[in-house]
Amino acid sequence: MNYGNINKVNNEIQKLWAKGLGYVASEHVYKFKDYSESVFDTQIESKYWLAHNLHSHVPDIKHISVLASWYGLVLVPMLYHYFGEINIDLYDVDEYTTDIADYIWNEYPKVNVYTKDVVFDDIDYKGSVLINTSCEHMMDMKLITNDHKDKIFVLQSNDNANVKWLHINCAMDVDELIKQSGLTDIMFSESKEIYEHKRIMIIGKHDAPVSPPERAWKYLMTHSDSGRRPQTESSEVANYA
Amino acid sequence: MHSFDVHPKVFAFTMLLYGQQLFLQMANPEKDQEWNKIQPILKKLNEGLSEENRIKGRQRALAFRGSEPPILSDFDDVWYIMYCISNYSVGWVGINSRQNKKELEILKYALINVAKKSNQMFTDYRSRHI
Repeated sequence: MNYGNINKVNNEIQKLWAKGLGYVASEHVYKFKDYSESVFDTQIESKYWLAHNLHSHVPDIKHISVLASWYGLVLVPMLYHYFGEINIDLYDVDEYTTDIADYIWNEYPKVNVYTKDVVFDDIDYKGSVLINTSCEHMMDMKLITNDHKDKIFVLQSNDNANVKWLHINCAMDVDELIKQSGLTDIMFSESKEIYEHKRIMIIGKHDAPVSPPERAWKYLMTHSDSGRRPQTESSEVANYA
Repeated sequence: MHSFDVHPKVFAFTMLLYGQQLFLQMANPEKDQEWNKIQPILKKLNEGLSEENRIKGRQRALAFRGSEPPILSDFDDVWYIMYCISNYSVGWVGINSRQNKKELEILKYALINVAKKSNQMFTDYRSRHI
């Protein structure tokens, strides 16, 4: 990967990591391995891929919610690089992780950290965009996207099923992730090889809900010859109403 | 234009390898005393990774001539050596002969390991010597 255009972001990530290390050393020594893995180049590559493509498709965002965020060490600087200092809410189920994240982001007033289980807790997400880069760790995302039909979702998963107990719901390709997500209006979908495994990303939302009369009207219009009154079986209309 | 930074792989691998070795070699088997040797070392590493040391390390690395390996004297040198590995072909990392702390010996070998790995991906690491 060419890091040329994100060198500043990398420097910021390293600076934030060094800051958090002091807190890990004094309060959560046992988390050191987990903490050091959070800035791996695979993280940087996949978050850069995400932020770059999200900005290309949805350039104007004011508030983002990140599900299963971990420390947010790579994603937050990447998003700030593309979107400026927007509001970012980080949600993670592990209270020790969020305690460290709270410390790392304590000088960033627009970054908020919450200890929440994104699967089982009922969360009122403030972001217009919801990001989950850990879909392989949890149930199908459609169970979450169906509850937030007004949001845009950015989802990443991978095909590495060899991580026992953790990667419980991998996706083998883009189609499988789309199916898991339940999203119907897909703006972006792609997969890429990172260290012999496929990483998959989709950006999308649910189609805007259409009322029954609108649906019937749409059906009539698409099944009629132009300039002529539609010759439609009444039962067909009834089916769509 | 070539930018003179610490490569993300060099940074992450150094921290991960060092952490792994530190925990393997210095964890205390006694209950509730597991981290009593490791904790002060991580604090020193944290102090060594200060912004001040980063700026100094970058300046020193810019003047690195490559005829001798970079020398590790204490944790204040970590940025300097990571800058060297990221930007030059570094085959070895030395240690100050007056230094006999086990944690620095472990750090030296972690850095050597990262330097060797970086040489395997020469072009990726943008060495000045290619």
